[in-house]
Amino acid sequence: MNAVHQTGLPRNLNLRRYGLEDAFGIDIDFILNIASTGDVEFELEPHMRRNVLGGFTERYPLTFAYCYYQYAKRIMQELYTKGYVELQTKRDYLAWWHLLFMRGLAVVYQPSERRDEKNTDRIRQHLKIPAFLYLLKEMLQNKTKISGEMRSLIFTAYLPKRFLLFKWIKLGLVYRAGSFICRIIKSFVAQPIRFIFKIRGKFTNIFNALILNLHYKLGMNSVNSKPKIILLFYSIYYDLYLNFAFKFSWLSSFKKLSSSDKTDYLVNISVWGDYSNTFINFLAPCLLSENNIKAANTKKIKILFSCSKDFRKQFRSNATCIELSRYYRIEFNVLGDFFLYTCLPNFKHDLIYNILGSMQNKAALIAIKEQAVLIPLFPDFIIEEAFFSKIMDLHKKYDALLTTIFRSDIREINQHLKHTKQGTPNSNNKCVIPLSLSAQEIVNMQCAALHEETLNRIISPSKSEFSITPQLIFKNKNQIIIKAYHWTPLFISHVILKSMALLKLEPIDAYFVSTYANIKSKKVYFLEDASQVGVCEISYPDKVGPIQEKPASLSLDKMLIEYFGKIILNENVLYTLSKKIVFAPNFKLKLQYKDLDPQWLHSKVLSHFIIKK
Amino acid sequence: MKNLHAPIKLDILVPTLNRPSKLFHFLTTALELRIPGIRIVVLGDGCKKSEEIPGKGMLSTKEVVALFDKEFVYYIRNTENLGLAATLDLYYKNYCTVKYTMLANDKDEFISTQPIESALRKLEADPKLSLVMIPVLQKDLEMDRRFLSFSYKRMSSKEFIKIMYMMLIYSIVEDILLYE
Repeated sequence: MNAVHQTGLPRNLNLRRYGLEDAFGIDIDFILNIASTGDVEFELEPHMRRNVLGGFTERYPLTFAYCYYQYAKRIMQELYTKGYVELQTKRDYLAWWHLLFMRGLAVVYQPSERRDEKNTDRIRQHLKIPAFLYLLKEMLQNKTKISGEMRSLIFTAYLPKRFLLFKWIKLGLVYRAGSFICRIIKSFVAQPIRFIFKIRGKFTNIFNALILNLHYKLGMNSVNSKPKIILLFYSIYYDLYLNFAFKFSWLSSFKKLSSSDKTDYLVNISVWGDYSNTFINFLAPCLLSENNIKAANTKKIKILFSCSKDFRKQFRSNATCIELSRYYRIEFNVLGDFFLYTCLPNFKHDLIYNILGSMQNKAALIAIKEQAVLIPLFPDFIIEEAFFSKIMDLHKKYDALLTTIFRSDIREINQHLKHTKQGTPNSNNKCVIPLSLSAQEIVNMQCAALHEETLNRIISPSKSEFSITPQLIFKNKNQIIIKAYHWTPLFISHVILKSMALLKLEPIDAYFVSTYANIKSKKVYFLEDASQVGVCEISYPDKVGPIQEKPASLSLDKMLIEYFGKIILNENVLYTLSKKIVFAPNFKLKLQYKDLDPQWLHSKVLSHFIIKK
Repeated sequence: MKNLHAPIKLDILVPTLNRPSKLFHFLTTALELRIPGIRIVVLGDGCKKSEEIPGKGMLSTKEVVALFDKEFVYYIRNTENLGLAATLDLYYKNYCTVKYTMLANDKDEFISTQPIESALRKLEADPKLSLVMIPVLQKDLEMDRRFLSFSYKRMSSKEFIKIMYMMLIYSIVEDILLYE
């Protein structure tokens, strides 16, 4: 403790006052200060295992680099003044931090599920000038050299993402032409919308809320019964929004997709950012299982990727993906870089779903045109080995298949697959290893690797905190049972797609149940046994939604009555809540929660509303 | 047989915030490898949340700590969240009575006592020593465990500062690369 007292540790810079975090940096200040008081010894063997995931460094890379730099700058200046380090050592050290700062700036504008920091706002409370200028100033002041990596980060990552310089140069002509058309349009209608769109932030949210509200009011259930003038207004308003927000000129390079070829099954997968690797590591190998390939040989299956340019590039150089092209017809609907890297990170979470919805609806229009069955899949799905053959069998009798699944922990699933399936391929792997899992194997895996979010959704009398969503999960008699009013379509025929009101900005699963009038028809099949068609959704453990604490004064049923009191329990919702899907693993579930029969929901909660009605 | 009532020489500081289940795991691994003369000091930084602990029910940070021997695990609680730096400051100013301290993370798990015992022996034997560095195993995205190995021998503070910052930086750079 002598060293601690001698150096006056810990020496807090109070960055927390500015919304930053002193935990980033106080450790190096501590170590280097202590080290300056005496000799240092080393142990060779480790004493601990440290989980580096899901921490603040990963969630706030720029804050991390900025805070560490503040501490690093101070300690290096002091050690230099005291003669502990030479000028060159100090420069080398600060140059490392400048590089890390630059890395933080480059990644912060790149969308990622695992990152909460989406711009420089957090550090700007402490920093009075723009972050990039601050970095340049520090580099000049400290005379640190610009490394090759730093140059590359500035010119190929940060600047294009932040200011779209290259895009402007590259698309100069297109931009001029676009500007000319824009000037004509904006003089009539676009100016107000563009203005609101430009000032994003609060106004964008209000604007989106207004549009979505209007969209729900007019688009739900009975479009045909609305007066024509309202429909016309709705259509113009909505198309303007879509065109200006998503499709206009240089905002995105949407390609007009038209195909005269008849496709039997159109698989739509929206994939960008971190999801690329998840797709390549998990879903792609599943699509290559022997049975799925056999099915692809009997019927025409087209996979339409709604994706980023990066993913398309990755797809074309990855062995597993190239193998996919041998059996499936592959098409890409590529989103523009500007859109993905400059617009997307600035949008709020719900808008990302709107983009997904926009992409899915485009796929739905293609399916209608090609008279195909739409299979909306997600890159973080794992599907069973006989997925397509089962879909094909069910399609003989039904026009839609609905399921509801819970999330599983990607790392545990990965570990399990490594042990049982001789390792899954990864994005750098040049060999192709198909992944063949039976539906029951998938159910077992899901139940063994429950995601934290899934655990939060379990309704049990022994819990006091819940994540209440349209999916209520129960544990009963060694089974996991889901009651939901939000079901995910595994396939929808073009017949149903044609008769549905397609809501252009919403993912199809978000509105299928609430907008499809014939949900009770015999042509819609609810999957009630999860081992019938195996599908699993995998997520990183840090992706967890908000949790609601049950007030001690409120019983479980009263809490849910309060929740359902805020939902419009129309006939479709009540009908789908009468269904359930059962996940029955082949092993004993290790969950400490008390059992609760899902029928309880009807007798104690929903009955309250039905009687009232 | 270990003398579990030996005078405390080392406090292992574990700052924690609303992660009782992780803390439970940490303390369980620490208990399995219990070393005489070592105490775990849990620095609860405004903890308010309870979590389900398998086999134990819903427990708060305080209740988790109460499951362990009081002589082995000591709990210091901030009523409000003050942050790591201020919490450490409070500990060193008001509670620290031992000769040596070590910082751990509530997400960590103990795997061996031998390096800590060896480090303590070195510190006890030589008053000129100010610091002993011990490597950790890291768990990354792919579930691989990477070993940030040290192969340095004893060095003076000047030598250490000249070389060590590179090692600190490398480990952090590696982490950042890992996330990309």
